Amino acid sequence: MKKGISKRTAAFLAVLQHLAAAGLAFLLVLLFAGQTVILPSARGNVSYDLYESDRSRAYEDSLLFNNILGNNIATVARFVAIRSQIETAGSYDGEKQVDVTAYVNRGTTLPGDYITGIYSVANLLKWAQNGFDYETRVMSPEQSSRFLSDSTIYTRIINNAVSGGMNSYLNAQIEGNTETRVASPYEINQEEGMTGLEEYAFFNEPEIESGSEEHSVLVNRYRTVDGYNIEDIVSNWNDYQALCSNVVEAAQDMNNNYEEYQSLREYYQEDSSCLRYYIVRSIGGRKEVYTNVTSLANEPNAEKIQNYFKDLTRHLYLCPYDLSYETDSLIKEETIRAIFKQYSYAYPDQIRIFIGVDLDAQVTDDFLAGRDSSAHYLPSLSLMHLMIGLFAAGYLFLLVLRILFAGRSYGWKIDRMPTELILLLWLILLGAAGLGFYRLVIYNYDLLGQQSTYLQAGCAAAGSIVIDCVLCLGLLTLIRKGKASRLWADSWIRRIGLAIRASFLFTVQHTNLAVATWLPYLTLVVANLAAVYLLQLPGVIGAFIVDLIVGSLVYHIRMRRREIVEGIERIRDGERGYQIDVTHLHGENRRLALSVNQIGEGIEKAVNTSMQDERLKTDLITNVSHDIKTPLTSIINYVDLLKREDIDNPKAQDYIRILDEKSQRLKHLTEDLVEASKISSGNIELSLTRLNYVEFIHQTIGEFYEKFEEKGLTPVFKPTEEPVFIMADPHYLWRVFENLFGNAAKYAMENTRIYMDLIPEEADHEGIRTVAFSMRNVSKNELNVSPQELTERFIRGDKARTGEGSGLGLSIAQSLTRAQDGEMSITIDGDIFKVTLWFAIDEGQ
Amino acid sequence: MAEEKKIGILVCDDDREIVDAIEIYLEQDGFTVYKAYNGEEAYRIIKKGGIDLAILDVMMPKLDGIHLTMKIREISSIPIIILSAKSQDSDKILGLNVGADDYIPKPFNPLELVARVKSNLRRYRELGNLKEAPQDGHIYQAGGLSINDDTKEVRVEGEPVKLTPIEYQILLLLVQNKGRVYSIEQIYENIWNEDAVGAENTVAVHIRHIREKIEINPREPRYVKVVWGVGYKVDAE
Repeated sequence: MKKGISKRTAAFLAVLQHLAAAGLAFLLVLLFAGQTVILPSARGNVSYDLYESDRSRAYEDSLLFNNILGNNIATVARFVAIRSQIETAGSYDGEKQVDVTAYVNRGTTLPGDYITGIYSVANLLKWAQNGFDYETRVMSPEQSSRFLSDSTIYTRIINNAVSGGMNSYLNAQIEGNTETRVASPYEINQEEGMTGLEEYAFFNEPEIESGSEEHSVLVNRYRTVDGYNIEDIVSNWNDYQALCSNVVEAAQDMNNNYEEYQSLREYYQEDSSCLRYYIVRSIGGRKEVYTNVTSLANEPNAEKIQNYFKDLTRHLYLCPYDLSYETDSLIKEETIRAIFKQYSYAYPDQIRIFIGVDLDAQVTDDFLAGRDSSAHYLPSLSLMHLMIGLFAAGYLFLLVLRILFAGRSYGWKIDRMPTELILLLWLILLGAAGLGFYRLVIYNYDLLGQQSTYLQAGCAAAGSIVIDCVLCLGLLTLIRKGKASRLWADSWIRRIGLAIRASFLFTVQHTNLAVATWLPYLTLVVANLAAVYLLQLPGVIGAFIVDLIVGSLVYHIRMRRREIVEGIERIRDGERGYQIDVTHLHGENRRLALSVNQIGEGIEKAVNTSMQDERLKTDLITNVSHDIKTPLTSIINYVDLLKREDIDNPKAQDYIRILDEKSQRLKHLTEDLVEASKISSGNIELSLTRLNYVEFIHQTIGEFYEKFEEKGLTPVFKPTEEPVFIMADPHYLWRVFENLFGNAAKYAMENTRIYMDLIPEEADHEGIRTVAFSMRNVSKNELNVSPQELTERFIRGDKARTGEGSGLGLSIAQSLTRAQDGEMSITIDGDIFKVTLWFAIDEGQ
Repeated sequence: MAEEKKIGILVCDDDREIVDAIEIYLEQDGFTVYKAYNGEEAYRIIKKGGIDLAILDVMMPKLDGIHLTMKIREISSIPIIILSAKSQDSDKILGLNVGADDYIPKPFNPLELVARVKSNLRRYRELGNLKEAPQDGHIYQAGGLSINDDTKEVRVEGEPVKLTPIEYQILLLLVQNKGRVYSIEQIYENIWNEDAVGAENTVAVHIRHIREKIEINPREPRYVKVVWGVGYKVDAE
């Protein structure tokens, strides 16, 4: 494999891939859009499928053509059914009479005697268009009977001449085929053969309705052709309401049909449609012709009509009565029968249907639009398939390429995310993008319509880029993780698994701890729950007692643990030999206590050893010092003797002076060395006495007066107002101050002031007040050392270690201060050297 | 001090050079020096007599200074000064306990040694005479220090010392009340007859000046001693 690709190339590949995805989506949308066409037809836009097989056929033989034809036949069947309701002799007839009850029940069978009103078509249409008004009237039974007719007018079909069902709407349409009969309520009752119970109810009705009642009354805008109002036809309220609703329904149906009739008549005119139809029906000997071929409207010669249709591009002929069907189209007989059966109220068996299509007509309709569409889309299909294949292949190639190149660098931020999180985010993003794609491209499919196929395809292309980006982002991230072997390493499942495994291992390895902790606890919990659940109140009490015992046990163990903690704290605070009493400790606590005791012993031993070492060191230093002192005594004495000799040579005098100085220095050094080692090993005996600190400091200042004066140093001491007493060993305290003052005398800049304060401090938490003595002076030399270094042996302000001191002064002072339960600290601020001593104030006496 | 007879001083140290150096200093002051280089030798010399004071080193071959002191004390009560490189307090105490009169740590200042020798001799002589100079109303004595209040003369080991009037008064106060500790405040009020406010240093400085004048080693004063945190005093012997 190659060593990866440049960022630029990678980006280029990504862009290529997205473009391929876009192209693919674009073509696919075009392909799918091309497989359906939306054609404007009689009843709005209709979507038709395009069939690959149609490519080898002539349009008039295509499935598309036949689908269009089928839809048109269905529309014509309905159209003619409506025409039959509204027209007489091929044109609209407002005076045509409509038996409202028969009309409303045109799909079913009428009863033998029915109550109806005959209205003219025009009146019904107008009534429906103007709306139906109702009045609410309160009527007493007397008023009711006065309002309603005395008797009911029944209509009855005389002769069921028309084939296709008894008492059908078609029979009612035959003129003079109905008769009316007026019947009194009683008569009706007898005829209808009501049972006794119903009789009883019927006759009692007036009594029940003894009071006035509200009735909804339809305002009679129009009368029947016989001049009746609705209430004139019926004698009771039930029949009245039924008839009213029939009138309203008939009028509204009629009106709807009329609107449809108008648009369809327009659409199917001979000069605006390729479709030709000729339907003739016979009802009770009356022959009605419905056609859009003007020339055939009054053609009596059936042969001629048949020939006319046979000459059209395609035609079909159906006559249910003769059981004959012929066509040169692909429409099947049962299809056409099923269509016409829906409108059986309009089509009796005695009917002949001719339908044809003339594709040579100079019009614009769905047939010709369909021909254009198929001509437009079908030829490019194979090319489209090829291109889709190419784009798909290109897309896949690029995707594989990017997958191969992915992961050469693992280190993007996104790659660090847990695998499941990436998956989750990826799926969410994909879902969002897919949903957006669906809403934009597929859901809006119909709205965008035929003309916007390219727009739609463009949207799909854009959308697919987004989807592809999201897809690649997630996919490549996962692949990079996979290549870096991080897929599993970064997964939450693995972490959870590891945690479970770790806790399992821990449990196994520390069975004692786990069992000792969890088992009793869980047992207690389960026991508690079981007791409470099973034994109710006694269980609660029992559980409470047990819990109390367990609680005190735990408390007891905790208390013992506390003793151990206290023991540890005592050892920490310096009580090294402290041993925890283990006699009443058990189990874990006992082990813990024993361990602590051993640690304490170990510390004790270690401290003793180190103290012994320190003592040995001190002894060594002391002994060596002794051995130095004896010869030093001779040196000092003879140098002194030399000084007394009369030596004229100035050089010799100078040498003697140097010898004198250095021997004196050596003397100081050995003295300080012994003292320092003695103090640091704790090898001194203190006798603490109560002394006046202020007085003491004054005395010290007095002692050092000359030394300070020599260097032009002025001590400025600010004492407390009241005397302050401290417990200290006077001799060693003097040694502390001697060292501090001596230090100041040696190292303070000449002709400066040395400031000293004595300040009592607030009582600490134990109620002990301390007093702080601080001394500040300006150093002669640069202080390039830390305060700690200054108190370390043999370190001095001037690192070069020249001059008078031994470098032990501050160390001695600090050690002595601590030996007397005081504290000493040094701070250095630029050239300001400050030393502070704290001692507890002795408030006694 | 006019001496008819030369005073004999025994110097014993295993370090010959030290013995020789001490001899030089002591002879300069007119003492007769007997030298010994180990304990037994020293003991023999002392047994012969004619020794008025012994300076002994502690660490010596054959017989060390401590045991030698104990042996000398069996036959003589002459002043014994112990020289030692061991400067620890315990050594000092041990030496003084077994009968030594003074203790000088090595390395020592030769002049201090001579002064100690003189001081010890004077004390021994006074004790031997069993007569101190009469302590009348005008002459006060504390060890080698004497103050004649009539002549306002101060002498240390017979040598006159010049003090300023204030110094004189302070020293007089302390010597007149030997053994008593005076605080700075008390001294001030006694001498200046006014309240000591902010004058504490003055007294301390005067004390220091006095010591510079009358003490051989002001760091370890013999006469005017500091009682730290309390005050100053002159020891009553």
